[in-house]
Amino acid sequence: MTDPLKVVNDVLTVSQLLQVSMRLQQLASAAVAAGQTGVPVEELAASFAYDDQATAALRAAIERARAEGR
Amino acid sequence: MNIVTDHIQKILGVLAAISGAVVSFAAAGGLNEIVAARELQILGLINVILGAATAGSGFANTAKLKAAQAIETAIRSSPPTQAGFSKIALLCILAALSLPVLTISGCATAQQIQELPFERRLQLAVDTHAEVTRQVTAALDAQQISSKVAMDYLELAEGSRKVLDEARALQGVDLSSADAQLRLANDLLLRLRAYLIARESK
Repeated sequence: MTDPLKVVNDVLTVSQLLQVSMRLQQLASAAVAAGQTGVPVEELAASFAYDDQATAALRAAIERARAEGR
Repeated sequence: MNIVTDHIQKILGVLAAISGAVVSFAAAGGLNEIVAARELQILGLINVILGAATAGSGFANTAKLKAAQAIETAIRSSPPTQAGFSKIALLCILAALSLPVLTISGCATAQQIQELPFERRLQLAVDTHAEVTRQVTAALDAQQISSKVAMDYLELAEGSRKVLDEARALQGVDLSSADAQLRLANDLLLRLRAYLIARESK
């Protein structure tokens, strides 16, 4: 069985993690740029729906990975 | 207990659990490769303050416990190498970044974000949450992480999503007192994030 910590150690670098944080920075900057304008209900609902999709995709990916034994 | 205060305590509780785990790793030498003694002191300070923020308020939900258990499971899944320990700790920090109080960036300051309307901050938190989840999925598909690590993240993500759902339900409620605590956590974690970026640039 693959050691997950070894995989992370070998492949997922600190640099990759920080690249993700850069993307988060972009999101924050965009929100600040939007300023004091309110968020339409539909827009907020869309964000929650997108998060639902992301979570569902992760679950599916986990199932695939398990089926492949990794 | 005020429902808003209770809600924020959940957020702070999760943060305290995560930062506590990171400090534990550090105490065990797991962060020796990447964190200097001075930064360990900062991590310790973050943990102490977050812990104090959650203490004395009847914090009685399971979010903190679940986060701590997820991290513990990740660590105990196999005997870690020291470097592996460090990477997992950073993964935990990244998971923490998906929490709603961490809608922070180097360009968009905590002050700027705090001044945004509640709905805007909530949306930013949800978008951040989705983005981190998407990146973890990509890493799993690219076989950069195992399904076990992804499962540990998913457990954290489900907990933080629950907090977001509750925040959504609280829209329209006066959050002024809760925002003061939120600002404290933001300031501290901005420092942590700045540290990570500084380390990367070396």
